[in-house]
Amino acid sequence: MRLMGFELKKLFLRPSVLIALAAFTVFDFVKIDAAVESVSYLREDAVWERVYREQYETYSGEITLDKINALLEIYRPLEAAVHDLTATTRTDVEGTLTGNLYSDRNLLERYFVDPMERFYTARADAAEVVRAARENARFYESLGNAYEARKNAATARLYQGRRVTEFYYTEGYKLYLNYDFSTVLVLLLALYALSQTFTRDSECRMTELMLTSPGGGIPTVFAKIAAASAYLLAVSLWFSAVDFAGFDAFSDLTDAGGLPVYAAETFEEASVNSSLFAYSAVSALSRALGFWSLGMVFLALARVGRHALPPFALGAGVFLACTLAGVRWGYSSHGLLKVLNPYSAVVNRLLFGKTEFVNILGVPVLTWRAGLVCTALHGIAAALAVLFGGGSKLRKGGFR
Amino acid sequence: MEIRFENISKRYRRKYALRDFSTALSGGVYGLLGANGAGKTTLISILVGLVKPDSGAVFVDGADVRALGRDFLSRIGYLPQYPEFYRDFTVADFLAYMCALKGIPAAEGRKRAMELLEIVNLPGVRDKKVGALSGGMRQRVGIVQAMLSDPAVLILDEPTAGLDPRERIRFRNLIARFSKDRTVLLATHIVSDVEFIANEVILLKEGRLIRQDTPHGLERQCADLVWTVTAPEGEDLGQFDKFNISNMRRTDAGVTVRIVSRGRPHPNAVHAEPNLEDVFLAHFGEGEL
Repeated sequence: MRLMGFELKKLFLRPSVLIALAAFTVFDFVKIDAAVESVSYLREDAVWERVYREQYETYSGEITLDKINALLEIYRPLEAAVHDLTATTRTDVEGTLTGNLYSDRNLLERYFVDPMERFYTARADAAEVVRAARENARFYESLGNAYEARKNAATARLYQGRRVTEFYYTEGYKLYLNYDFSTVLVLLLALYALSQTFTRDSECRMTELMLTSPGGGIPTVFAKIAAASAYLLAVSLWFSAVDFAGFDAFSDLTDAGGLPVYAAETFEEASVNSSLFAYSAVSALSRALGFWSLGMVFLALARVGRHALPPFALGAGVFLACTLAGVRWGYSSHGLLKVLNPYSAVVNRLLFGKTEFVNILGVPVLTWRAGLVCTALHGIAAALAVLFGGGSKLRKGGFR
Repeated sequence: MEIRFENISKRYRRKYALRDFSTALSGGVYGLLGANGAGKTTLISILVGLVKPDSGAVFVDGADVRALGRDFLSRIGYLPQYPEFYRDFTVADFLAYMCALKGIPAAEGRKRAMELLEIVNLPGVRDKKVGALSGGMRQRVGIVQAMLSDPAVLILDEPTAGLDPRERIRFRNLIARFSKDRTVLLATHIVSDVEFIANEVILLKEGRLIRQDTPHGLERQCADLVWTVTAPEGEDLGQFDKFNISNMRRTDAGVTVRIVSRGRPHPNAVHAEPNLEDVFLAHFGEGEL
């Protein structure tokens, strides 16, 4: 434990790392603000924001027929009025919400009608998926295709009972769940700190002292792995918390936190049924696992060369390769290529945003489960390579 | 504790760094003296387990150090050549880290570190960053870390390289102080480091042990080789260039030249009392002997 504490101190308590951590945190907030600003009309237009808040008071909460009817009573006439684009474009029309008919229609459609319709129809959509999946399961069973039968049965079980019963603002979640900038920040901090793990010792001639001390060798390498793991988890979770806090501050994530994850746009076919709050936590843990796994590879590469630059460049190359593979196959039907890539655990909407299965020995396994297990195994293999990799002078020493 | 080197050889590509090196150390200060590249660091690296010899073995009280491994490491204190340590650690943190590496309990290590810092006259640097220390202070912190476990064997590789004369003297005195009841192996190419404190000097040349004796014994072996001659002002000093000149001193009578040579280098040359520098020149000098 003492050795791990010192290794952690070597990684963390360096002015350059702390300054980078502070600066990146500020960058992240600025970037989140810009991301919200570029998409949200509410941030852009004060009138929209005021009107939205007034209407939100009325329509948020439990979705009832009364609320739907009340909303459609305002929306339908507006829709009809602007349908042929001949309505007045004046901005001071009496009896309107924003002063302009088109603006009223757009606001209501974007922030109330469309999302509420999506929520309301989620139950029917899910029921249709369950019905089709059960039918498929029976069909495949009759053909003797056990794998497809089990896959469809699993899909039916997953979608069974899906419904969204409350209406809350989810635009913030849509942005938050698709936000990747902090991934780059965590990556840079991981590469910067970990690529120096071994070279720094040799640069200041500490390797000799480690090797000639009873606690050198495996205990030291183990302490380095443990410290690197703690560092990666801390940095990754920190930026997940910053992301959440940033989007909550600039776009409000709190209200919709209790909604199911499939209520968020782009997550309609989610492979989990948890709440958005719970999913945010799961996503942060998945990302931390992904970074831990990649970080162990960076640590293994940190033993290459005498200076920190080659491991940094190699680590960046590995991440780039994983990213390119993730972009290339992340949205394809090549489930196995997706689950084998630790990038999927980092940018985990690839695993959780869509219900997909991989065939493992004839058993359909949800990609997120297989992906997380593969990422963990990948990280363990890299950590073992650091610990027992051939030719490790630090591990073996002269006497070991 | 007896440390015995038996027929140690180590080759880097075609060049021998050590060749059939055998000797025994048993308490006291041993000066390992040789020119740069003589094999001193290789010998130390083999002793502390950093390098495997191609042949031969090192025995401690009859047991092979490779078999002793960690047990042997717990009995040595080692200060490598040109250590920098972690520049952003405070001295206290660095020493605490070394205690953790050496398996010394934290509280005991803190107490021991404070005592040693007092001894090396650095009581006030505890909270200073290692990077803010001068070279001499850093070397003193280096010997403190080597002494933390109260080792039976203290191994110092060129500890005074790059130090100013005052720090060098201070460091030499510390070695003398720490040598009580333990074996100290001090590798250096600076003769004055070992001249007064070494009980025995091991002369290493091109990987071979060429002499091992007390400083006085080595000097005695060179008794007939050391000459002085005073050349009057105006006489061509170039005539001595072919010899190993250990010293030149300007006096009222001219320039007194101290030469290490088997034959009389000048008709007026007379024998002089040898010192360890003369011994060094006799074995490592480039001029005619």
